[in-house]
Amino acid sequence: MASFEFFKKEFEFRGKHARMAGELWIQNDYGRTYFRRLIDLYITAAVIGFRVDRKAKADYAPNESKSIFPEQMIGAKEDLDFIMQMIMILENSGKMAPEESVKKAFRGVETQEEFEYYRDLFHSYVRGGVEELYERLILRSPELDEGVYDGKTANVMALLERFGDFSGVSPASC
Amino acid sequence: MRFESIALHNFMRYKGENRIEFSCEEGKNVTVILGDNTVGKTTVAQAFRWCLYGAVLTERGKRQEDYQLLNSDTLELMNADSRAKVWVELVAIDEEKRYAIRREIVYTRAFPSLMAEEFQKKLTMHISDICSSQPLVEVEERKVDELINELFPRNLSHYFLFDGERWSDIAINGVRENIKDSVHILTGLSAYQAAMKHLKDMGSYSVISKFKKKITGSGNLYDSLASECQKCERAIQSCQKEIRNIEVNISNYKKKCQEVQEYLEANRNTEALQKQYRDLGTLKKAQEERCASEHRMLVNEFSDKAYMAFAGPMVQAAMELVKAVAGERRDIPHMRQATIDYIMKGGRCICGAKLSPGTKEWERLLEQKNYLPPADIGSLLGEFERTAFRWKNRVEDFPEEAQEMASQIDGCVKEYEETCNEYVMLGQRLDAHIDFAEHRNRLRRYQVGIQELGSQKGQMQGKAQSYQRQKQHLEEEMKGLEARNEENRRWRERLELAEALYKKLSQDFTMEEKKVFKELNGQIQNNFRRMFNAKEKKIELSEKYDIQMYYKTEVGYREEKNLSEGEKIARNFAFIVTIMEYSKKRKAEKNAGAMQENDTLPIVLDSPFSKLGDENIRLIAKALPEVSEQVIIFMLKKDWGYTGLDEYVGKAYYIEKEAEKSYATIRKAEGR
Amino acid sequence: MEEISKQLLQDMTFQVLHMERKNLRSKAKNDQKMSEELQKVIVDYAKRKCWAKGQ
Repeated sequence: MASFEFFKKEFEFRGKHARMAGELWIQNDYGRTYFRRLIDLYITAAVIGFRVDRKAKADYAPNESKSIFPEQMIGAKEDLDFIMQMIMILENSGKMAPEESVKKAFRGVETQEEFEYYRDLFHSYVRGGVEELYERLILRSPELDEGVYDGKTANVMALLERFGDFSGVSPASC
Repeated sequence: MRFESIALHNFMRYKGENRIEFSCEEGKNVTVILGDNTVGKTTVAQAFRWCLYGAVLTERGKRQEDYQLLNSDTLELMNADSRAKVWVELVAIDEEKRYAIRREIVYTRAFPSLMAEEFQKKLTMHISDICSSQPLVEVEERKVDELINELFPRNLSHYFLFDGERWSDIAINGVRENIKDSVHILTGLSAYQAAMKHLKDMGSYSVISKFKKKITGSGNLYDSLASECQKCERAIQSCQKEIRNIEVNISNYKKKCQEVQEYLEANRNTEALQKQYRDLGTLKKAQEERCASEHRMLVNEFSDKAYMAFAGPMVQAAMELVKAVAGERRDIPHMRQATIDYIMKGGRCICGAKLSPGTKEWERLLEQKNYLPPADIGSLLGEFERTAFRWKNRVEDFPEEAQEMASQIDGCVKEYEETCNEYVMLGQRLDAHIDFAEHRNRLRRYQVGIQELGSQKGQMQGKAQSYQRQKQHLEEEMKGLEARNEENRRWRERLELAEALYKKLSQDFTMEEKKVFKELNGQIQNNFRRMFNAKEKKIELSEKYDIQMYYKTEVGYREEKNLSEGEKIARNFAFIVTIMEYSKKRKAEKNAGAMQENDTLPIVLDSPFSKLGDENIRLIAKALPEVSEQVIIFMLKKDWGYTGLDEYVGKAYYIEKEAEKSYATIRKAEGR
Repeated sequence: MEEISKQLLQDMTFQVLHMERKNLRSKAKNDQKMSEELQKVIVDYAKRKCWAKGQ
């Protein structure tokens, strides 16, 4: 079994991603924030980033950074590990036989090299996901057929409709 | 006038080109476009408005600039050098001509962000004859807006482009609409005004003015009289200009008076106001907390579940791979790690083959070890499966729940905002430390101002009249000195003909105007009563064609200034139905040889019935195809049955939006 | 001047209104041009009047 474990250390949003994170997550202001905790943003961004295959390099603009502490990270480790496994399975599925990619995902990484590769890949998706969420939740303009009046909520519903796989569900009539 | 077709290209959520052809059949003049909520009906309805006037109807608190017209999918595919076009083309026809109007904007992308920037704007219009095959005539660019306003008067646009949900008392660019002129355009009375303008009112290039100049006189006396005459003319014009200015000032003062009077009236009882303010404060706080709580619920739900929903397709794909691999497992039942260790240590397999490290056989045995505890990834695979199912179950009801929460939030937010507005206004009134004396002084000053201006106006009018008399005397003298020749006789004759024509037009216009007003007013009350079963209320047109609603009290009718949404819609429906009916009737009369030529308009309705009850819907729906030349209606599938309009439908369309796609498409319905 | 016949006035009114309406719906001519057109119409009718009177 592997001796390299993900999601035990702190993660820091820096530069423009810190700025974006700061608009998506605002502590103690449920009227403006989209996420309860920063870790929730982290998880959702990872999923979105992977789903639209959007990676982003770390940015070093002089913004105040936003950190997720090890305790929080570990608290979400179960879900994060699941996501990481999924990434490993699917990321490698083109490059090697299914059996190989599945085994790798479940045995875990065995070298420092591999560990860093996947760790950085994950972070890359997180940052890309933050950018995507920023564009869809913060920058998005209202539409004429918006079923929802409140701007923030309208953007959330649009996001859910786009990525939420709501097949067979018709929007409630107002 | 009818609409023949509309075509959209990359307009808001409609990717690529979408086109609707409208029914122009007699008797089946209704075109219906059905779709569920939020699928994109309003966007198409607004496309009419945008094409004609370059603006969409905005939601409360939002401005034109907030709406992105370029389709998002198209935008996403653009890079820094790309250009993309958005256009809407509307084709309309009347008895003689076909009008094709096209509004277009070219966008670039502020790559890499998802923002579109306007690069170029264009509005074109082409007119062609219906009957002949003559080529299209392109209207001059700077005249297009004016012509559009003539054919589709903008001040009536809120009526014939009827939005059943977005209604509010209209101010276009902050100025209240002038419906009267628009109604004149529709009834053909504007031709009278134009004729009078060209005959006399426009001043020195008018027919009458030109004719007068042709009459020659002999000698210096005649010439000096002529120049005196011109001086008088100029003086008259400047008096008239002055009079118009004074009238504007008077009207401003009157408005201010009214404001002060209303203010004094509303603020008479401060103590009650203060209690109201306190109560409102408490309510506001409670609503604010409720909003926060609703928001919190959605944020929590979103934080906890959204990512599971988003991961759906990936989990699916991963599961398929995992299952495939798990399916290929070839572990041997009841085999133990220790057993394999023993066999390997022994150097010989059960089948007898020699075992040494590095060989194929050795590797296969090592492989088997992975399928057995404790290196069993089978159990890990099982855990993966369980987590995947757990995620799927957790978000099963998520869509509906989220939708429900969104509705709740909206309800709270709207209520809270209204309360806030009320609270602020009330606060301002209380803060004003109402000094009644000061306000009364101001009122008096305005009233004095009005009086003074009134007398100034009177003086100006007197002056203008005396110049007019002077001019007439001069003209009489000139007439006397006119060269008595054939040329002058002819011009004098033509002049008199022109004057007679002007007089007739003026009289006819006044008479017609009164007649139209009376008829419209009578009919609007009938329609209102008929469609809304109104017993305690009535509506009436003011002189300026403002529609006013009155309610019955013991002492007669009082004007209702604060109408509910439903009342506003009823009022506006009655108005537009009346106008349509009237236009249609007049057009039929014209064919029987009457003087007026007038226009009809098609009517485009966006969810017109959403705020009305079933009874009203039936009554109104029935009236529409009868009174209008053409009806185009956007509505929910589920409401269609209540209208009873099936027999009038010439064409039908559906707007559909697939779940995974972000854009909508318009599909023609086969048969019906 | 002799009285202008009612019929003549009626015909003129009809023609002028028709011209004005057509122009409103096409904006082909500006105000000055329209004035010129109307002048032509009136001159024409004046001639007809003389004709009718057998002059």
